[in-house]
Amino acid sequence: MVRWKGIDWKAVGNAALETLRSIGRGDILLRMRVDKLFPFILYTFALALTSIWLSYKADQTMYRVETNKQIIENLKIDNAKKTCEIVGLTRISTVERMLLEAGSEVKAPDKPADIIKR
Amino acid sequence: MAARKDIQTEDRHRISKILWFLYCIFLLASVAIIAKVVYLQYFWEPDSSTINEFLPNNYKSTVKPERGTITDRNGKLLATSTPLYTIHMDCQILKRDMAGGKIKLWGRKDSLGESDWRKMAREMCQELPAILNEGRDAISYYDSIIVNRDSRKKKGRRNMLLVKDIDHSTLEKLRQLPLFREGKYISGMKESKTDARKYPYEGLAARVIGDIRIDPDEPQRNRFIGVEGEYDYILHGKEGEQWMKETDKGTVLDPDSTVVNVEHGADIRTTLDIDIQDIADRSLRKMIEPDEEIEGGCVVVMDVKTGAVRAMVNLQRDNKNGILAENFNMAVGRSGEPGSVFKTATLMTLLEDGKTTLSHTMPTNGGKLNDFSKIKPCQETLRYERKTGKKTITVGDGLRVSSNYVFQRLVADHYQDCPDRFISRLYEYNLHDAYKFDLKEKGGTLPELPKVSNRMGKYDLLVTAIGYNVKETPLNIAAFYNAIANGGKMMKPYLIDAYEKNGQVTKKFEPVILNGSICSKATADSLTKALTMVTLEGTGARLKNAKCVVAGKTGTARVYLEDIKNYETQDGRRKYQATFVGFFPAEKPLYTAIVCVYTKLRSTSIGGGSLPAMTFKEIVDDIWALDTNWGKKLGKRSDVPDMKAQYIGTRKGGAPVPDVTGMGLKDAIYALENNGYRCEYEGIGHVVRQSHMPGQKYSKGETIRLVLE
Repeated sequence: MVRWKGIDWKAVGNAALETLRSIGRGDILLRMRVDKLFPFILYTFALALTSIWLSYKADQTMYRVETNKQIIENLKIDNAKKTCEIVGLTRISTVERMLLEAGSEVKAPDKPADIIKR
Repeated sequence: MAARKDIQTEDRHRISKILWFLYCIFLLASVAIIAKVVYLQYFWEPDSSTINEFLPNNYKSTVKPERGTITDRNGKLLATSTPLYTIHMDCQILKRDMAGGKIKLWGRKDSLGESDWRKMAREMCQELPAILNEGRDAISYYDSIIVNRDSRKKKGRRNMLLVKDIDHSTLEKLRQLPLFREGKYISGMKESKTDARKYPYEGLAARVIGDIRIDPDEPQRNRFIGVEGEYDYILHGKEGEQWMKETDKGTVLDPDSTVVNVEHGADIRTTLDIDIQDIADRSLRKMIEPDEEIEGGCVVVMDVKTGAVRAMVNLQRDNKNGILAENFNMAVGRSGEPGSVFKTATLMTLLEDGKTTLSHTMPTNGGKLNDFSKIKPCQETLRYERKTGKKTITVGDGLRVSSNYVFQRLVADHYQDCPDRFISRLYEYNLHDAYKFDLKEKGGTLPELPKVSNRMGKYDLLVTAIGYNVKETPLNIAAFYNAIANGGKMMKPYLIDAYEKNGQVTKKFEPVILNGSICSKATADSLTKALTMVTLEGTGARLKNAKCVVAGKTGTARVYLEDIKNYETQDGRRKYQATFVGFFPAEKPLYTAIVCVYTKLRSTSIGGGSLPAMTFKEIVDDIWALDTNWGKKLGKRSDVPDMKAQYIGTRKGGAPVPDVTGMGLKDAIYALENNGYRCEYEGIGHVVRQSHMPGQKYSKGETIRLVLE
């Protein structure tokens, strides 16, 4: 059987009892002289809080960026599609066919346009 | 002293016991950890929700670059990218969760059960037929969804293809449907995007613009055609990489990660003029479409000063349905014996070497080359003899009537002893050169000239003089005639004008001179004069009434049939290549153009003076009418033309008069004029009376009076 020598069990017991009493009294931190470190604890806490808050705001901003990107992407797609449709309508043959279908007498010019000199 | 030593020894023992105790604790802990690792690695099977908790919530994604656009010289869009979407549906989504009754989902106030899901699916299917327009009814869609939902498919194999390749606006409509609007976690809707190329002018210049097809599963089927294919490395751009992060709100870019910026593809501005392309396409199509015995044709229009290609049409008839489509770039990839259009190169050589002049007269001799018995008498010369009654012919007239006799006689007289001199001249005209043109045609044939040699057969030399025994692409012939139009300066034909990014030119391609002078200015002028006579009084007389004077040459060549090694089948049928090439206006050329028509086997001939010349005339007339440079210039002292007011309606007469009472003036005029009537009004305010009874029909242009109060 191992015997523990050199340990003052009574003192340890007293210290543990005193610690429990301090916890009960609420002065454990003061007994540990934590009041000296209090500004640093507050500072660390503030840093952690700021970091979490900034991370949250960054995520919010990035989400907004992604949403806007998607909106811009959708607009670009619509723009490309409409541009294609409009460009297709500028084809001379298409214009002539549409005019014909509309019953118009307008035809492609048979002579070049007169130019007013500046 | 001894007692103190005993205390120290005792202390060491105590410390070693503590250390041993700690060692045992750590040892046990490490054994436990290793055992846990082995268990987790090989024996533990977590459920999906646990896996998600352990996986990192960020991932690397590839950013695809935007493919560059292709435009014509004026910036008109020829090709651009728009996405297409394929929609799959995980029909078994939430099925297991809902099996035990209604479930509460995050972000939803109410609970959702299987019956609710199916109700929404049914409502969605009611609207699907109208949106997708696939010829399926609502029941069919609903049945597919429910069959998939009720089946027991494993994860990864349970996605049902709903619709393929829909555009963005259709996708937006789908997203608004009852089930799909609940989001992908409830509906199981899965979108996959692919970039598709859009060609606003559809089939116009399709072979020149080209396309690419990349099949990762079958790389041998990959194809790279036209500008899209040849310049894929410019248009494609470079992929980027970025890290994405899953958050409560959705997937966002991880701001703390590294990013490889995507490099979007550059835009390519071509030298094409889409209006000229349209004119050429329409003219050629109109001429060759009715004749089923015509295999196809091509047109090239070039800018004289720069060699820029303004139009390149390639129409080939589909053997199955007879429809003309751009399937092969004949202008670049179909070399063949050009026939009489080559006589101009022969004449240029003769003039440059001082062997003849346009006015040089020679006996017609019944069109026969006495010392070349194998060559049949020239029919064109005989016709000339009959028509004019003359027994002599000038060189200019020889070109005008396209006499084989005249050119073969001259070449025989001057180059029979030194054929190498004649052939090397042809090389100087770059008629053997593919020009490293911006486009290549896979499976095409290249231009060829006979080898420069003094041992050339005498018949070979004579057939070369009239455009046989050589192979030329339409582009080569056009470039040669362009050099004549350009006073002897030969320009390299080119199609790519510039690379652009965000509207800024990043690389500009300048015109390239192939040969500063293939002939003297005097020779070029003489040839222009002779070619003008061809269109005014010769074989190209169909261009006589063109809107501006054209200098050009017809050519009709029999096509050598490789499979039977002859020009003619046993039943006397032939294939022809009919060509008209020229430039206009002859006095100050701006454009060079060539029209080539290729026939199938046929018993009747087709000449360069017929369909090709007619097509050429239409092209000339339409380009002339469009180009304001040829318009009348009105100065301070000019006579302003009398303008006659002419009513232009958009509908034929006979439409009923609309009731415009109560309308504002603007709306009333729009309604009346749109129905073919003119409008006069008095007063201000709203229409209270109209002169013609609503619903009645009157003749087009009838004036309707409105009173406004």
